[in-house]
Amino acid sequence: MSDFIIETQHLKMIYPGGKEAVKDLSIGVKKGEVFGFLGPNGAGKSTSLNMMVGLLRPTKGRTIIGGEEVKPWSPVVKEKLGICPQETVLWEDLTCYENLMLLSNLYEVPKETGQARAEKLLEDLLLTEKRDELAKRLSGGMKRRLNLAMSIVHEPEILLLDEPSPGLDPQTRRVLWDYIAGLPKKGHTLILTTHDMDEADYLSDRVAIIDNGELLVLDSPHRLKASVGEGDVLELAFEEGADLEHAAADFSRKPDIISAKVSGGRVVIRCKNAMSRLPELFDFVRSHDSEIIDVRYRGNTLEDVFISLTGRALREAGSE
Amino acid sequence: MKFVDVMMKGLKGTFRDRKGLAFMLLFPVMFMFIFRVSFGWGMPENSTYDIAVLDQDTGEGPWDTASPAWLPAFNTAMGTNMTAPGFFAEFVLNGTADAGDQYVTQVLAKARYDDGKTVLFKIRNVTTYDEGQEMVRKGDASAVLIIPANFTSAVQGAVDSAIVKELRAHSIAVPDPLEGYANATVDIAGVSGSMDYAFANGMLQGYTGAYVQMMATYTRHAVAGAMGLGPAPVEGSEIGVAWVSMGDTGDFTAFDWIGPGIMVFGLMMTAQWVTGSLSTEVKDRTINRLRLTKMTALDLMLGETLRWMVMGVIVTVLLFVVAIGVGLHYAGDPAVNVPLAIINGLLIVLASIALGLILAAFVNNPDQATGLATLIIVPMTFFTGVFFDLNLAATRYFPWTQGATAMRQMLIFDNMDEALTAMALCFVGAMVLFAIGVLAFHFKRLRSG
Repeated sequence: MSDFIIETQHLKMIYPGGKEAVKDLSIGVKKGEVFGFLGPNGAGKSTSLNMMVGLLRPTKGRTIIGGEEVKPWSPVVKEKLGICPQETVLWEDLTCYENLMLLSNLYEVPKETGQARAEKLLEDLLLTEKRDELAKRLSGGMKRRLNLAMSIVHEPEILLLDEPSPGLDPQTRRVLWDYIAGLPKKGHTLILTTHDMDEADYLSDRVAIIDNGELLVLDSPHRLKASVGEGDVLELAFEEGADLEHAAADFSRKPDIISAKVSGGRVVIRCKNAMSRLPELFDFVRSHDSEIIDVRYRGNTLEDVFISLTGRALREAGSE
Repeated sequence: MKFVDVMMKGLKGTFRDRKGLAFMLLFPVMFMFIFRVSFGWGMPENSTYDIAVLDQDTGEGPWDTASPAWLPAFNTAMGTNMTAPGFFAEFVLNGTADAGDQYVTQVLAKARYDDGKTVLFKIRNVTTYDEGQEMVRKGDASAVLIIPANFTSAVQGAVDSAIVKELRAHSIAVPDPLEGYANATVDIAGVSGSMDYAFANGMLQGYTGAYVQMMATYTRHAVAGAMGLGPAPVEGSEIGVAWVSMGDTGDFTAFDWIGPGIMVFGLMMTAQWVTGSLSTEVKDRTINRLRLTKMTALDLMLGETLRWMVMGVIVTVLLFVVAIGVGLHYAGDPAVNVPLAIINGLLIVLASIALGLILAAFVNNPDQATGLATLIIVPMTFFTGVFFDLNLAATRYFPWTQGATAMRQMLIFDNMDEALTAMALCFVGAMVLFAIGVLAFHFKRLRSG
């Protein structure tokens, strides 16, 4: 018996026209974990998710849920899965409450239970005041929250979240993240796709980094970040006209500087105790008749992991 | 009852989208007004159509040599000694030479619009088909009506059957009708692209069918009355206003001929709404949400169908009210014909929903839906003879063709036998189309991509 609640075996998707969207994806998701798919737009995350729920027929391979292969109209999908799609998918001419009750009824949730769940979801996702508002009159952030509520009203064992928070204001995003983060405690297993490294890092127990339809690496965020290297990261912006490549080369020759590269128009330096070394770095730059105009300090991120694997930033990859 | 949830979702959406609802209801109503204006308000109406008539009726029939089995009983009851030809001359022909002559001189030539003055047809007798064709070619006639040689024989057959039915309804034992009656076909020739021909053809078809039925009905009641049998206890569907409206006190206008067709046209628009609605579900991807629930494909199809059937009832009733409001006359008993017309309307809606399902299977968004639906539905309204009966073999068994026939037969001619037959064919056609629609939508839209 597999340890995984959901497992894909050699999933492959070639679209008409020959584009290979997913190449031989084999992963397993454990019960109660939050499993993140991180990758740029067009990496094949949503395609993978749609194959996992039976909305897309894979060119090859299969998905197993609870020992049963997923097929179109599979009872196992209807019993165990909920999916929060990337787009806000709701009925614009129904109210928030009606949208929730429609899905509750179609999932055969007993009426009173469904009503109680709908009210609770509206409360938890700060939509109670909009209970009887038509969905078309909600703001984008509210629609996103309703979108999530509609995916979970039948309390699925496995919830698939396809890019749950792009374009949201920080406050709405935090509401959504906090709610999602609390779901595993209620017994849900989560599969999350995102191109937002912070989202993947904050929410996921394990992250699969995917690019061009290919699984590059799979591990916990902590271990993935550690795998990139020790030390902190300083991102230095120089005045216009500065020779960044030259500066990076100069930095890399200094003692205790682990690495220095140019990325995203900045010189990215990895070193230990970075904050305490800032005055020294400023002096070094000035001695070369140059000027630092902005400094960002951070620890390793999943973006660094992606860069180390592909040589590109997530943003750059997504816009290709 | 998940299909009820699907239906309610759709209905709420329809009724909350006020503008969409208004357009949906106004469109067929507008058409009704436009046609009413075109055929009566402020424009010349009640055109008289020149008809070249080639009457080939020989006046011969089985009654020339044999008597119907009920004639002795009739003679006994009446104290007369009528022969079959004598009976036919007195009770049917009423001074005319034969059935063809009677049909032309007593029915067609006397048919009038509701102003009581304007005649529907101006009869131009011809002696050869070529002569009639030449008149049509020159524009001197809208159509050539060819009455076959065996027309009288066919009318005798209809009368014999009707009287046997009548007497048996009064528990009088009579043998079966004679054998050897002809099946006559009246041909109506003309230029198929001509509007005048389309109108004249529709009217002549109706009059021809109604004449034969009218003669049978009239005669059986005349016989029953003469024999003191009282009103017929059964076969009510053969009693109607056909006699009145076909006679010289007719109360129909040109608009009445086209009104039922406009109603069918309005109901055919359901196909466009269904295509638009389902393509919106596809575009908005709400269809994927539905697919992942425990709802089955049947729930979705049933829910959508019921939703549009509800709208169909509303539109049918609305169109009926508007049509009557703008001056549509209809034949028969309102307590029977109006509910039947509404049921017939629902059958047309069902067929249109099925067409909508088929179209929705091939479009990805509402823009495509509008384009494809217009491309298919508008020509379909013409080919199925909604406006003018084109009598095309290719579309004869389309449910809308049959629905339009049923609507005309019940509302114009009160010919319930024909109407019910056409309704039954419409129902069968609608069910076949519905099955195709469900399969097409299921395989193209509900299965995995």
